[in-house]
Amino acid sequence: MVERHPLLTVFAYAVLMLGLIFALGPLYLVLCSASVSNQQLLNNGIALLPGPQLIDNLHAVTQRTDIGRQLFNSLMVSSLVVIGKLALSSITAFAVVYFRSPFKPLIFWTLFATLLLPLEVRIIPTYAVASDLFEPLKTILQSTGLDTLIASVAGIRIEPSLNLLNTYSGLSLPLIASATGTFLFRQFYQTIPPELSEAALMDGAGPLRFFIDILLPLSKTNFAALGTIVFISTWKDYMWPLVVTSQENMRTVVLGMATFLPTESGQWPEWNLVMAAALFAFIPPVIVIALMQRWFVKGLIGVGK
Amino acid sequence: MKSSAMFQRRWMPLALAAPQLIIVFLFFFWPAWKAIWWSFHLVRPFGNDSVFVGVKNYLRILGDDSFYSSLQATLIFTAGSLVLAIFIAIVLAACAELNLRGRKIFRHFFIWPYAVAGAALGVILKFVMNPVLGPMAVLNGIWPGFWTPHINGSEAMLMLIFAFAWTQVPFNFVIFVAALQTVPDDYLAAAAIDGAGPMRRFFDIQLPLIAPFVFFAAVINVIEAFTHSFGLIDTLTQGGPGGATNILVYKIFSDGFVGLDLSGSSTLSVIMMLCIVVLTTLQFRFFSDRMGYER
Repeated sequence: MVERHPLLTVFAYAVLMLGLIFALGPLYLVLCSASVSNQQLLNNGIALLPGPQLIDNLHAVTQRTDIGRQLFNSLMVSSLVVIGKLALSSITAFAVVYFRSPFKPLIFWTLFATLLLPLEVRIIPTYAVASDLFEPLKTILQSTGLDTLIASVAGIRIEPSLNLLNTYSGLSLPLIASATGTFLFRQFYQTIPPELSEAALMDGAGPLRFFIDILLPLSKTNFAALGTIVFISTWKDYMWPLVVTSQENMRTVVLGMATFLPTESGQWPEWNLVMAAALFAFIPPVIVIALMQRWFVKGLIGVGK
Repeated sequence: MKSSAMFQRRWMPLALAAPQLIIVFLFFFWPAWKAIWWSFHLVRPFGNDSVFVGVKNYLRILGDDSFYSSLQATLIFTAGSLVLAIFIAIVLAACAELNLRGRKIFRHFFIWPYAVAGAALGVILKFVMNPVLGPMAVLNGIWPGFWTPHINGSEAMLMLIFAFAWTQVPFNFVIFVAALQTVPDDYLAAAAIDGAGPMRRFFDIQLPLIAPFVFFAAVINVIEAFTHSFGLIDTLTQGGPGGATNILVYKIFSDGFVGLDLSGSSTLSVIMMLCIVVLTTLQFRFFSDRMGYER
């Protein structure tokens, strides 16, 4: 910046302080309320200062629900989605950028279409698919009459069906099925000088060799950035786990925290425990952001979700 | 595209892309197709029999008052949270870009809320904004009936807009800070020499230069409001009171899973899909025109 303006400086600090209160205030209130007794909340209202009971409340939450299992589920699903998305997007982007093939436009536009329809909007048919993954296959068999043919020849009825409800693959696969990552990698590969692949070609390296030995090491930053952002958005996801899991032991922690809210109207909520459960749900991604700050910002700018 | 150094393989790219294409087919195209198919049929929730009804589902939805109130709620919610989230993020980013001590620390903390899931925020606000506890209880003590989001639709909407804007500010902030850093220092220095103050410089130089990024963030925000607001609404208001916060993504869910109206819910999905297609194409058009697609 150019010159210093004392009045502007004061104003800017004031705005930034307000922003800080705006950003962290709710998190602070959660921490305070999670560290006092419920009696105190009911008598004095929301806690403005931290109390001594944080450990007790967190412990009480672990007694009430299997929060360890839920944290494990969240970690598992988020990791699966990160691994799946990174692997698929980097490979597919490589296929789209570095080859000359008549199928390229087909691949490109097929993947581009996934950007147009978020999971939330097609939630119900996606649920139907997850509950019966082989329905397309079954439809093909039935409409072509193949199943009756097989039934008459071999004497067995083929009824392929695979239910992904309440499974880790059901929780993670639909979240992997979008191509934001592919487009991020595509953009990055296009900035890599073509001399690199020319040289590789001259040295007699095949495409896979080039991908593994040259492209992968160069894209470390992109892996870290995309990985961080995908991890956090999967962890935060609520709608898909809500529909695809019905068993308690498959719930993710964001979902588990929400079911901590009282459902019966007469029941008086134990707000301190609800807030302690909320801490479990958002502390892990806050730690990830704090540690992966640089990558996280890069991911946000690059992906733009 | 620079094509001089490409590998000449006909089938290999298809083979490499196959895993992703299969997943995308199973979990994107098949359900998307199903939504379109269902929207033209009357589907029974259990069992397979469905009757082709043409555009009847569409006529039913478009003739239904609850669709228009949901559409209205969606527009108010989207516009409100959009304006708020963009405004707050621009102000914070502009301040954080001034040459201040400790601005790095501010930047660090401003993105923390990104970690908070909408559903978690909903649970938190259910407590914090509770009319019998907390700050609102005090105000209700002074003016009875001042804050009653559980019976007053506009108060519930106001609460949702603020809450959703809170979840969107970190993303916008990061984008705007990055955008402001692309503004060359020379421009600002030259303007300063010409006697333009900080405000003038902001409005005449910085803001016009980052305008494309503001547009980009706005489109993302709108799509997020259409889709990712579900968790917040489900934990905070459940679409109530009296449908005041029953925005389309929530209506799709509740019509389908609670009301078991698969046809109606799919029809809504298709309508919403069209909106998002328009928005996304708009964004890509704009960006490939403006910045040669290489952001």
